[in-house]
Amino acid sequence: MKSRFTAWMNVTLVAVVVALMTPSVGLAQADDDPRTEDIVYMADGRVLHGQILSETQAQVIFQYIDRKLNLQTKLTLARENIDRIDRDVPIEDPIEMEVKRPSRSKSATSQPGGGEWSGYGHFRADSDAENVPSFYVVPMKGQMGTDIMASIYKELIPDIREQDPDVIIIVMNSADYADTFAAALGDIDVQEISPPDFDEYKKLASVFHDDLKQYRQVVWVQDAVGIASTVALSWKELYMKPDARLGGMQMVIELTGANKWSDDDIRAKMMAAWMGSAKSLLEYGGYAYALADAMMYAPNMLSASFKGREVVWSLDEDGEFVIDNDDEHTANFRADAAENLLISDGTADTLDDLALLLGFREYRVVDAHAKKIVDGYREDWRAAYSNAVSSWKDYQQYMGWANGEDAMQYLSKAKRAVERIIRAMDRYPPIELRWKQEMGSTKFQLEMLVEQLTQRIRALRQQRGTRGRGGGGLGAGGG
Amino acid sequence: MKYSPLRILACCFALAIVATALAAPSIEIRLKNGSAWRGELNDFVQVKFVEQNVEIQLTGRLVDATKYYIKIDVKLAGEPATKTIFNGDIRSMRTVTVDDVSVAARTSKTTRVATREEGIATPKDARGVFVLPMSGEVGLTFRHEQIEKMAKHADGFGPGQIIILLMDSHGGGIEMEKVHDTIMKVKKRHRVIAWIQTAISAAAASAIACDEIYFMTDGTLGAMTGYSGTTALKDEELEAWLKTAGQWMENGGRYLYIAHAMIHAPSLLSYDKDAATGEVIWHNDLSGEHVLSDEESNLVFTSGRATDCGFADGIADTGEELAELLHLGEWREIDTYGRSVAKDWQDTVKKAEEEIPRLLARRNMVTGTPERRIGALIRIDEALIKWIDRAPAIAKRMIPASKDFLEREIRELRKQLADLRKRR
Repeated sequence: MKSRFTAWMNVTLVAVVVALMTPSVGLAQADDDPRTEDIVYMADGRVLHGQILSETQAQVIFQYIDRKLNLQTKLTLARENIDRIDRDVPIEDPIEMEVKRPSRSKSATSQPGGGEWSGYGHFRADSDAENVPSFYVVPMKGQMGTDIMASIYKELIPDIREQDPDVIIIVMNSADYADTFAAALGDIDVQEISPPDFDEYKKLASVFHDDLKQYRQVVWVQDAVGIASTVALSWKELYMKPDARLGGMQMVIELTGANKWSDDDIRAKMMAAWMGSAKSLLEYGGYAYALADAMMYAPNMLSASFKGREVVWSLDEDGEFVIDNDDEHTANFRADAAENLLISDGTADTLDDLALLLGFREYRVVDAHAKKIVDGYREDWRAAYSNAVSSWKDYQQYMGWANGEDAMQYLSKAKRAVERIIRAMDRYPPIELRWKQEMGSTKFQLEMLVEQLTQRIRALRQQRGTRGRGGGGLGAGGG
Repeated sequence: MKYSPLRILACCFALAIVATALAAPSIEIRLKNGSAWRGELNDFVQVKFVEQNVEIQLTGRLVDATKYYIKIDVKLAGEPATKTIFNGDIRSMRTVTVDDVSVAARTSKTTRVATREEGIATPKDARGVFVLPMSGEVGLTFRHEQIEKMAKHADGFGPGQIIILLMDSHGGGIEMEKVHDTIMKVKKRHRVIAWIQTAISAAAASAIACDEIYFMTDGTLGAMTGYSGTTALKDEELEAWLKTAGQWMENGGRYLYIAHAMIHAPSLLSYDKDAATGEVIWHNDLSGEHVLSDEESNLVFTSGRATDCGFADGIADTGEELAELLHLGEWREIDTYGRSVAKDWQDTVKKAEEEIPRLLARRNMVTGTPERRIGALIRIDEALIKWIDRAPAIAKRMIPASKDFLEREIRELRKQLADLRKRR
């Protein structure tokens, strides 16, 4: 079984590499009779159409032709994986394979100018031409639950509907910690770890999978470490950048505290409830529950076996391919492993690569507001949080000065500083969350602080009024 | 021996479930899927059964019940007849009202009821539905009172209305028993459907009373373990809860051991599914192909598993999708009564959760002259009493004093105020 998988993997990898390396201008190079084709029936059920270029006892070099995508790729097929071959089969309704050559010149047809050829057959067009497939790119960058919230993405719905794209590309770049040596040693900013607020993430998933379900959607993972990886797995079509990570959920269960209950039944209940929340996101993507089990809970191991082209996962190390045999760490995936194990549909370094993998020779990125809204929100709330922290320092300083004659003046300033923090929380909900984590107080406590300051100011004012009236009386007496 | 409030709560919980467990109907019919129907002769029942590979649904009066078959009086092709159905052929069985029988007779001249794939299990007459959102904590915002109000409102439209309980709750307290009982009562006159976004713990225990359960894609249901403080129910309390929850599970037409797997980690559960017929055989051990709960796990269903094993009837993320599954033709909400009832109560609770802590904090911050302080305290106590009247459940939890205590304190404060004024 293992050797069969290895052979299959070799074929796949060779195919991908060759596909990426073969320029589209080579499409018409096959010199066999174009009216016939060879059909290879693979043992795993695939049926490959094309031309046999050469063959030995051990292998067949095959020019695979996908007429729908107008692509061809050279494959090396091991004999042992081939069920049978039909040679020189007449092509029914042969399609004239179009050879599109790179061009920088403007064109009114489906190949508008201004874009760039990147070298392997796809083209990013710089045009509004309706006949060029459109991509709507949605950035999902930063911390889940603060930078990435359902309410922000809900704002994009009208714009997406107006643009009516062919594909929505969700560019996921959310990591609880960096891929660095320092992070590996534990140098992690705990404030940047995404909170395990699955209700929020279910709302986020619902924006895409329910409100926008009529659109084809693809998540392109640039990095997904922590809760982000569960959210990424809510998309059926998942691609990754070559250096992308998918996993890092070791801390999720720790943050929920589910595994810390000493009572067996309560611990099982809490674990099931939290794991259920994570698995419910995987339901959208159709991934195996075992992935969530192993990616979230360290004692679960993970291995995989292939049944035809289907991966059968097991939470132990008994499968043909062991992904995680360490009961102290959760399972994680890099792009290559995720692709080999059919979690990811492919690895794409650039949007052009992704377009190719999605089957688009040409595409255009619609001029949308997503980046402005999403990036703007992230930058704005973080700037507002920084100002809020500064206001808190102001408050502390003013309170230190609120004595004697200056008490009224500085209490008023201190109160205004706290009110600024509350206003920031009202405008940006992530500030309240971050404030609670970092400063240890809630919005309610700040509101009560304002009330206390108001009362102190009122009392001072009354005292002054009393003194003022009394002083006036004395003055008058003295005169 | 000291009794903490939590201990008392646990005891109440245990007593309540023991009391429920003791009640038992006179006839029990064990179904092939492991569930059981309980009732009495002459009950009106709706039975789904398979005859010559065709799924048939009949509604009529139960006239005989033996170990191997039941007999029901029905109208076949408009003529009264007695139909014998072998217990082994029964897919599901539920108690219905007389009105359901007349509706069934009116809407279908032939007794053959198509399977879901064939489409017309219920008439496509674009019947409307009532939706009651039930979210938040069970006993606080997720309450039986809302279901009662909804049912009473639906009564005005005649029996047999479709009431959809849209559930989104991580659980709560023993209120679930009232919710369960209320659903069971309402089921006798209306079709009550649970539509699950989240139903964990007490919310799951509430939902299982429904004969029909639909999941949203990201829906979850399960984890019904009862606990107090840091300890789960043990021994007799646990046994009583397992028995009650098992019965509740059966009341919804499901295998009782599903409830056990949702409560007690060592309870095992697995199932086999016939690839051709889709028939599910349950096992309260690990002998089935699909293991749902091993000796260390608690069971929480997600949508895929719940529908695969037949625990849930389908997956719907929108009203339109649900309408299709219910064979309603189109999604039409008769009115927004249920949504308004839910929203009004949610708003009340939200306001209480904001206002009560504020009032309590102000109580400790009162300053000024003695008259001013006393006046402020009286106003705060009066506001707290208003909350006790308006939202007793939440007030009980948040206000560390009874209404009687606050009323006495107000009298005391008024006396102090009067004395102060006298001394002036």
